[in-house]
Amino acid sequence: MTNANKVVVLGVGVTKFERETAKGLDELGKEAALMALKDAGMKYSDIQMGFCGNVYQMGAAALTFYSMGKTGIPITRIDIACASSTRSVQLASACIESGHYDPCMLIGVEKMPRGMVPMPIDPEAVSTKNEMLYDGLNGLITMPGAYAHHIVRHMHLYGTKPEHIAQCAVIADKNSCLNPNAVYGKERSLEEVMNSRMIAYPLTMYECCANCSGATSVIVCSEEKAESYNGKPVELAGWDGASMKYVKGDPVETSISEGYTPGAAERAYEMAGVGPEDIGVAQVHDAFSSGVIIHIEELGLCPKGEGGFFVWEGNTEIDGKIPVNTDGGVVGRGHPIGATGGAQIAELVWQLRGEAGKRQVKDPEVAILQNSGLGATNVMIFKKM
Amino acid sequence: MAESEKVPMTGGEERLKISPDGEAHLIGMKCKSCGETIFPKASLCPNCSSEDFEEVALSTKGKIWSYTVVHASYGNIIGLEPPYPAAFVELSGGGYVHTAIVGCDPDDVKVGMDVEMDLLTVGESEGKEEVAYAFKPAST
Repeated sequence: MTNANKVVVLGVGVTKFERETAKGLDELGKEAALMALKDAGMKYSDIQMGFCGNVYQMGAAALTFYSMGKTGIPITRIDIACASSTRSVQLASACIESGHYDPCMLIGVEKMPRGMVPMPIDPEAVSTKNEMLYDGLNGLITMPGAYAHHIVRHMHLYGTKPEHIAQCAVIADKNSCLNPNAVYGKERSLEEVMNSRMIAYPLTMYECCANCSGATSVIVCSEEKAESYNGKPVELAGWDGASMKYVKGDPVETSISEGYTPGAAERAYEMAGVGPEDIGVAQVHDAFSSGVIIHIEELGLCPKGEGGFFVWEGNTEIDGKIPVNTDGGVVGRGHPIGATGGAQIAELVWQLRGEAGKRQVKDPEVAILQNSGLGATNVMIFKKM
Repeated sequence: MAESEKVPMTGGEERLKISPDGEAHLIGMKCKSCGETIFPKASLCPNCSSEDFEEVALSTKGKIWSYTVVHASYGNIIGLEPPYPAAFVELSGGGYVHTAIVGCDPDDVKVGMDVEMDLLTVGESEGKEEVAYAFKPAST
């Protein structure tokens, strides 16, 4: 797109993520949005388009944006499960590239009960022959189960061990102690993680994220528009999203993956004009800790098959070769489903600005995120300006 | 007393064919455009979007391609008590099926294990036995 505007992130905001809160999702959304506006040096009336990343509340766009003001702008709730907030920012970026709406705001917000996430199929709404419903009735559908299938095949092919997967959770918990917004901020040992209740072999309870309530907000605009404000812009240099793709000989990728990440990564790298070797800090979607191993390979951050050993040897720690999920990731932060992607974006923006405090990685210039959910995987690449 | 006729559980009518003599197999489709074997059947080939395919009988034997052991689930109507293994089975001659593994200790399940189809009673409807397919270790 030769005449496309350059897109920048100008403001971000993240609330504390909690297992339970008395705050309504309208309050949470407003809290995050006010932080992002202050960060960008903007007024709410400057915003030309709003996206609300939210899965469980019909009317969430109205509930959140009307709590900010009634300026008549187009607002839309985006639900693509755990990838809602990053998909929102991608769609906003497409509007900014064309100049149609500039600036745009994401408010990602979720209020969730404890326990298993509700099964995402309403039997009344789908045909009896629907694949997901049939497999669900046969007891085959669970989110940790889907991640587990991926990693068990990986263990068989590459010798990855349960300890490598558990170590992803150990690092996540350790990093979360440096993140004041994280739900628990509590370290756990490898033994504690591995001995916790089995959920879907090989994934134990402490390798699974906790459902949370919380909100995130991201403001994007053109580079040109950013000059009118006192914010600290970070460039959104490349991005792409994908859904599940048929892959010959790979029934797991074909039937239960969250989307074809390698394809989205390739297009994002091409758009940004960088490669994996340029990445200084990363965020990947670890709703279950095996996601770290699978996704760092898909992003080309380590050779295919070596993800388990790469993590085990310390390469993804804050002081490692490629720091991953420096704020705890999904497992360490907690997971307000529709809002999670906003926290990934915020952490990378803080890292590139040099504002990540105790979590700060040394001089990153380029950052990458991968965020996924039922029906989507998103890859976004940011550059320091 | 004669065994009652077996019929696929609701939703499985296009997945499982059971003959009057009790022989059962999975129904897949073979795309005439790209050659892929697909299970379950779909309106368009998921690989190439072609509508040109033929129905095929799939093998009742295969190997475990990947698996997990489900300890926490949303429940099931086929009588499985957690923990139970759930697997993708690569069928001989083509096709993959997402299925429960029955008839063995969950700890014994391995990638590459030989398995064969089994039928589980789910319920009864109009004097017929409703069944669902699952897979069990192959009898050697």
